[in-house]
Amino acid sequence: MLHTTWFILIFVLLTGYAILDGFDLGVGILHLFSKKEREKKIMVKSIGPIWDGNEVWLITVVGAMFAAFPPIYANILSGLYIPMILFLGGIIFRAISLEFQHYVESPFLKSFFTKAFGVSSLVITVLFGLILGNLLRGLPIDATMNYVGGANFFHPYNFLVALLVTILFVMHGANWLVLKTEGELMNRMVNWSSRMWMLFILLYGVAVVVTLYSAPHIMQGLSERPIFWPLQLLMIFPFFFMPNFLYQGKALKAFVMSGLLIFCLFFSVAVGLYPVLLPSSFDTAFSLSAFNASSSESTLMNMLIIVLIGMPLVLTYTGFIYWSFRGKVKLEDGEYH
Amino acid sequence: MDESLVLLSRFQFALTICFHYIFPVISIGLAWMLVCFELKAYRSGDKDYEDLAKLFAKILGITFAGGVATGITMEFQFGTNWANYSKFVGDVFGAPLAAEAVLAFFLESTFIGFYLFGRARLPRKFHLFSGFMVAFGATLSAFWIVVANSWQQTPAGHVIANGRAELVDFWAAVFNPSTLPRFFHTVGGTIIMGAFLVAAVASYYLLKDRYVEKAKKALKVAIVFGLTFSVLEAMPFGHLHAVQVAKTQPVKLAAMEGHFEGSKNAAFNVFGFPDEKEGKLKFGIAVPGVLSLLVGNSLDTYVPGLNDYDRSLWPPVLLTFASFHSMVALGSLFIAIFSIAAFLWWRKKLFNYRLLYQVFLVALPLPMLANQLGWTAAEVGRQPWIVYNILKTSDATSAHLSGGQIWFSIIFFSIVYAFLGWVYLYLLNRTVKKGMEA
Repeated sequence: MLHTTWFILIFVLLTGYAILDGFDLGVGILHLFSKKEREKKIMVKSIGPIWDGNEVWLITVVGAMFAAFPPIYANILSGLYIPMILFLGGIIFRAISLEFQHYVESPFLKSFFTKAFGVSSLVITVLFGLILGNLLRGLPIDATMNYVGGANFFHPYNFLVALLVTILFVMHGANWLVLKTEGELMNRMVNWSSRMWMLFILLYGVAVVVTLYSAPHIMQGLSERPIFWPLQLLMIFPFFFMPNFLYQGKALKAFVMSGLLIFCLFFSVAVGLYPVLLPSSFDTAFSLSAFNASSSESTLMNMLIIVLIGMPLVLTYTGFIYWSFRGKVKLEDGEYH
Repeated sequence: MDESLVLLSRFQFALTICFHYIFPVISIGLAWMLVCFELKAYRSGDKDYEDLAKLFAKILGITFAGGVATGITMEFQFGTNWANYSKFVGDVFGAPLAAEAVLAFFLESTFIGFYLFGRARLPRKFHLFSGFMVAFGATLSAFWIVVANSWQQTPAGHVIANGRAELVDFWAAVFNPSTLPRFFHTVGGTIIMGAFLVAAVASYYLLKDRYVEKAKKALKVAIVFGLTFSVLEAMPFGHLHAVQVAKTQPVKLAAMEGHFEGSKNAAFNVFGFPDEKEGKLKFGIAVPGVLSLLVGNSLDTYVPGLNDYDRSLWPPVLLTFASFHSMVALGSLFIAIFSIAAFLWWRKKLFNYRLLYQVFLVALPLPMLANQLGWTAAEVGRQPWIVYNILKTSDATSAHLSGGQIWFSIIFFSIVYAFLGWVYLYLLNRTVKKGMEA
């Protein structure tokens, strides 16, 4: 029970990260395609007070992995060493370019950081997708539960997942901007979102078919647990209604729809994988699961208490900050920068 | 395990942690200084303090971003380079890291959003509260990180079972013997840094004849914090920490003190050059008895020396000794500087000497250096153990990494951090030069 709870918690945190940082990464990518200074400022400002809190979900999911499933944490990070280092590079550049672009005055540095914000958002998104794709296929883990080298990071499936994640985040980010902006920029974001929506629907079918071959264990797990099939049915809502909401000007509902889509996708994967958190590409018998790769029950229990105390607080003040900074972004108010 | 690969991973860890630690030292200390400015502005309605708060809030914003950016690297690093360590101790060591994220870092990150962006649109009281929560959250973060590191120094609350360390008593692990002494000593160091930063900025304006009234107020606040905490940092924080090290990690203490021959009436070496090969301290200036007194309150206290232990258990003595002694020397200098300033203030001559401003300006990097040196003594002094008496550093790295991979990451981080460090300094400089509103 404790192990299953932690399996679910890891996916809750990971999904939370994908939904929350997902849209601000998407905003970063969209920022690359805007040519107007004013628009870029609005885009950055729309995520100004919240991106940091969003990113903490990543720190938390990694920290929770470390505490609850040490061998999984250790194998993923050391196994995908270079991608992880580059991912960190992206995180570092993004954090500093988001904060520093307001302070620098030299035109060169200003345009450098503005660009760096967009590029690093794209790099993080693509690497997140590549890493996710690689983890879904599995890592070369031997019978002693150790990574033995030779992960194929450039497998086409990784790129397919990366593409899917990028489309998803851009769509989610565009929906956020529809919610936060007005006028011409908003209209353009409506178009971006619906284009991404179409691309996603096209690619999703492909992804399902390819997953049958590249990560068959997930599909097998899903097919064995019909009780969770409604999760797939739930996806019909975003598929059918998101564009309508967008064109009817119901921005919040559209944004919730893209969030729901991310949730459905991640939890479908969770259902397919359970109880495995890190598949072995050698033999499914070597896969690391919530049962064979967990910390002691005492640690899981203590950590659960911490989470039960911490998460309601986190959700409360996260909700509060979104509420405080609700509404369309105005460039004039706010004297911080 | 190939020793040269272990050394590479250690070098990478040292590089990334030293660079990361620039930011928390400044942001924790500064956050508390800001609480003081905000509180004074709120209570007295004095707009000068509000202007000061706005200026230093900008510096906090820049610093905080640097801390977040470089901090994530640390959390990943245990997995990327120290996989065996992570597998062996994750059960115990992972918990405080996760607690830091859930209980402290979320708090800090959310409230800094309120604090930096909310001055115009939030109710005054709530804005004040969020400033406090930033400082509180940052300090709580420090607590959990110190917990994790202290467990490496003085492990407790665990058993070794199933080929790993397993947590049996959460609170015993959290409040292991070194947690509290190290927590106070660490946070004290950050507040001294905050005080020096405010003092240096104020001194800069005073030297340039800009914002004279505001700068005077800022300097006074800095002196109050600086004197209080530089004294507390030595006594009781530093002293209690040293007593704890003597009790729990006697080899480390011996290395810190350059104490080779165990003895009663042990001398305190003010200066010297520890010669590891010959096993004695050269060119030493020693005060007899003081070490025994400090450690055990009595001249009769036997203080074990390095020669009482097998050489394979010695940390690198010279580095441990030098970093510890430099830290102590700097700490004494800080007490002296703030005492002189406080004396001048008392004689109503605080603003009579340009030399004092120049001293504060030049001294700015020193508290950072002292913070870094303290941690160097703590971490190098723990060697050859990564978890004291439980796991050797040489058994802790990721087994399958190649030298090329580690070199790649070292070069990568060096370039990124050199750039980040340069921009950070540039921005600090710009922000201070640009100054306050009217």
